[in-house]
Amino acid sequence: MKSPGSGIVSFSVFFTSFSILSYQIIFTRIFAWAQWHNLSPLIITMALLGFGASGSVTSVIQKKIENRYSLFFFTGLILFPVFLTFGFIISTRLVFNPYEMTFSVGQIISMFLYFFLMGFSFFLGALIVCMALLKYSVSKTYFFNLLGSGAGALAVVAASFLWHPFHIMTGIIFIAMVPALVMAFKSSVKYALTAGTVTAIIIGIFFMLFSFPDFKKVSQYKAISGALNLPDAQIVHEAYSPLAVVQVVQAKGLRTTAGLSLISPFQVPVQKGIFFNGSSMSPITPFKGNKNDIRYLQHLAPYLPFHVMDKTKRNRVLIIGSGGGESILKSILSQFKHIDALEVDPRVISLMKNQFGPYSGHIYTGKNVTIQIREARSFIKQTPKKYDLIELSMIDAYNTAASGVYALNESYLYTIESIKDYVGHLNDSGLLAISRWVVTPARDNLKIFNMVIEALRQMGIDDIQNHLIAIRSLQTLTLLVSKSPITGEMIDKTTTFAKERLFDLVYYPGISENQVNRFIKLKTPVYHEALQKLLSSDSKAFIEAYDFDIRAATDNRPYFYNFFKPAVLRYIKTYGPSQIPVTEWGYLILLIILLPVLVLSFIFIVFPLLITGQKVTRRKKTIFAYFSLIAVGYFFIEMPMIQKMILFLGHPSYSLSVIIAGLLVFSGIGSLFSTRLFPESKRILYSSLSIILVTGLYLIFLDPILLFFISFSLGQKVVLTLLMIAPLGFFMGIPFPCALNFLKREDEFSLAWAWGINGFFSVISILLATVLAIIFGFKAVMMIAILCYGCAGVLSYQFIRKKLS
Amino acid sequence: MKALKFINKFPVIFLLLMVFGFSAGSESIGKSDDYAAARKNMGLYQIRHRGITDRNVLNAMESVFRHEFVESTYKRKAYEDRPLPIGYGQTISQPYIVALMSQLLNVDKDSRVLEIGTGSGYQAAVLARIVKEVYTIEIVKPLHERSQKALNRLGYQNIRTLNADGYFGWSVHAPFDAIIVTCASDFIPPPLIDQLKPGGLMCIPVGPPFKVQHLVLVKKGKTGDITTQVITSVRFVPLTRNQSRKEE
Repeated sequence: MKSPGSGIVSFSVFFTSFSILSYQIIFTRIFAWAQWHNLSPLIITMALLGFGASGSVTSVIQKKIENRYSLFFFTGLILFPVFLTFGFIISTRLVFNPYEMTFSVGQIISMFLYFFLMGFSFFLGALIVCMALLKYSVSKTYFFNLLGSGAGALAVVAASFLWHPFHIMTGIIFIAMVPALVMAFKSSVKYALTAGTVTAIIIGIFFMLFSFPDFKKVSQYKAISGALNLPDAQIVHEAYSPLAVVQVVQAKGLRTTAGLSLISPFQVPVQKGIFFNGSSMSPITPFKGNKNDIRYLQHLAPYLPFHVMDKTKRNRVLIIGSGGGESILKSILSQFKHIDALEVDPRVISLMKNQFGPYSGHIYTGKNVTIQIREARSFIKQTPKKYDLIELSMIDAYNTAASGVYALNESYLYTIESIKDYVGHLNDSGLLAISRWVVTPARDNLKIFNMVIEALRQMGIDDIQNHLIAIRSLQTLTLLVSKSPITGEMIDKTTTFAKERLFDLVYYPGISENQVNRFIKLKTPVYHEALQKLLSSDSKAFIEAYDFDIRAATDNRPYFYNFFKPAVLRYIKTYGPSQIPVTEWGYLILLIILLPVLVLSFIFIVFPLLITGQKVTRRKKTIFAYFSLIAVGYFFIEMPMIQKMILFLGHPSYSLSVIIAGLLVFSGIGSLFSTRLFPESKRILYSSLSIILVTGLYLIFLDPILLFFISFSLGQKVVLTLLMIAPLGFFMGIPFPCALNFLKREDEFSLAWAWGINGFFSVISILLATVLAIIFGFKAVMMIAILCYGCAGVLSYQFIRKKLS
Repeated sequence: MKALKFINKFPVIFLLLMVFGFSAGSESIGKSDDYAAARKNMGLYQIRHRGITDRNVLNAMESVFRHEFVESTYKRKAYEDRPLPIGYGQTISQPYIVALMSQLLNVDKDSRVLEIGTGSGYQAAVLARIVKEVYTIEIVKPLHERSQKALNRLGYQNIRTLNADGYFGWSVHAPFDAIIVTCASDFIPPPLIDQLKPGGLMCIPVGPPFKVQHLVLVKKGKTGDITTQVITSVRFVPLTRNQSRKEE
């Protein structure tokens, strides 16, 4: 049978690439919602390993592919959606429990089988692209590959506003089916029958899946499952967006609050709970305007800043992360005149204003309440307002705070720069209040202490010890940072507040040892002692000696949630693998993945050489070095850009989608023009130099540019971001197809082999970029990228010039 | 040789036989008697060697059939040094934690104890061997029904179970000599303090499922004054089995 036409191949590459990327993104969303967030790196790893393996396998069986090209291409097209379906079915049936994994071999085996299966579907997708590269124009194929991927990333974002991730996944699988159907009906009856049958089976499978009542069930260990186990529990509202699946649950006995006094005379009412991706419950408290119904709030440790503030100064409060409105209620109870609240998720604001407006006492639409859909940093950067109180209260769920699952997540909410921004926007007598869960062994609160002290030091405050107050309840710690020195009256109010509610004093100016650790007795007053040490001249030694990483996070290294230090491993060494979840294992997972990835990559890169009897010539070494360098370079720019734009665009999901889609599409355009730009012998060198130049300019000018435009609307910022990354993406799209073109003229083994090398080094560089960013910061990672492109440019000039001559 | 030929010819059948043979073997461990040694080992190496000294607690831990409170798939692991899943996102606590909490409550044969969060029913069963009466409340209906069935089957007469919201305690039977809160909660419901007798103790494990990080012991003084002690790092008590064997 004759080979498929160029049109069908381009069409297939576009839709396959579309499906691969959108499947990857939606799978990370499904994992974050139904399972565990910290297994997400595994999905990206498996996808790119699949890409690498496709190159290795193609290089070995390339002759067979060429002989029966049509059959191989069609088989790839038809099997791809079949395996995507398998992956999806298994993901809905399997429930991983990371804690159980520490002792259950079955869990580990099933997890690896599952990810292997998923990797195989990505392998099939990548194989289709690789086969297309073998036979058709490299620059055109690569263009459709990147364009399809970019379109996939954007389509997922758009679809996430409308549908549940499971429905989007179903749509993606059917889109993946389209190229096979088109090719089948243009080729032969036999192919058409096969494609028709497979499509019918997949439709049948989905029909059955969606008829299961518990099809959309999440892990039993997620908070929402706990709530749904309560009597008369039901989901009363559900909304979707790229940020999270938002669900509101009502049930008998559903109530939560943080830092309640053991002897509170007031009861916590039954509430409704807003759940984000099945966890992080934010309570909606019933309120009919009678303040007596919410008096229990005055017996919460995080109420301290509202209590100690002079009544005459309770003018304007800023609440960061208003969620279900508990802090707004606290502000109403303490009679603040103006309440500004920030909520990053527009659906929360909508449901609090509309569906749950009457239930919550219309607090979101109160006369003195202003709600904004804003991320705190971008708001604070542009607002001219000054506040009497800025409150960040219990923003993370307890499980999040204790589990280390966000170790790899960037947070611009807690950095030295953010603290300076908050304190800078306080009135002279204003307070910054940060309340967090108490986690054992102590780490995150100590990091907050350290960051606050460092920020105040950088602001030129000499008597920092006179600006802090901290109290502790059984499960929470509240830190107050005062712009002016703490007054005696404030200290008196604090001590009375704590004593009457059995909270413990951790710190206030002039506190003595016998005033701490009195009601909720810890073995040692760890928080008090740590704060004293951090305030002393020995703070550096204390930070270095501490078992967890409590170094202050900065905008260049915004990993507040990463506490990992090699010293943490001693917990596992001494007490066994059951301690893994107690340690900071989000970071550990990255390191654990990296090792097998390196081994697998080595095997898959060397294996085609051995099988086909290729000699390891100098030229092969150059190809290896070149394609690994451009893979590292690409991702060492992409990853920091994603992280950098979180602050600008306001949420990791926005940043991830815009940067990935933007870079892919512009790289695709770069690929399309790659045969026309610059003299052929100097094409790669010039494009590498252009990348180096643009990246260098970013390193110098990006921060001030972002700061200048930070107050713009989200839509404007997305356009600006795309404009900013356009030149970079364009030039980054040139070195890869250009070099492949040279290889294609030479031998097709090298083409497929190089495709594989690029795939493997993409995984390695994604994992390494995060590790290096945590240790050294974004700028260092981008500097390495510059170095990689520099070396790649020189290397290419060497081997391409020789070839041309 | 014939056997090898058979394997080569019918590898799938051979594999199936292996699997079924293994499963059949594992069923035999399901008989209660077979767990006596495991239970004794648990008592010795996980409980006694970690410093639990209360004779009543030790006797209870070594006599309650822990394997009867876990799902059949976990029976073989019932006496291991770890919490196990019991469904509905809940766990049966690590044996050492159960023993430690029982000891911390400082109760005797005349005590009446309230438990919030029956879960599997195991903690109630252990306490029932030590005290006069155990009152236990579970809000999740299927868990309540399952634990009630297990406790009835094992013949515990001094345990009263209730399917209700534990937030309000069990005021009809209050006050209690001790209260144990075994369900995950962001806060301690204040009504429970009122239902504690002066001089009574309340014990609460703090941390998400599988990750008890510390225990909180609330003491109500004779005059009604409240003090709280955080017993930290309970998960960091190492298993000293090898070391103990050497000592023997």
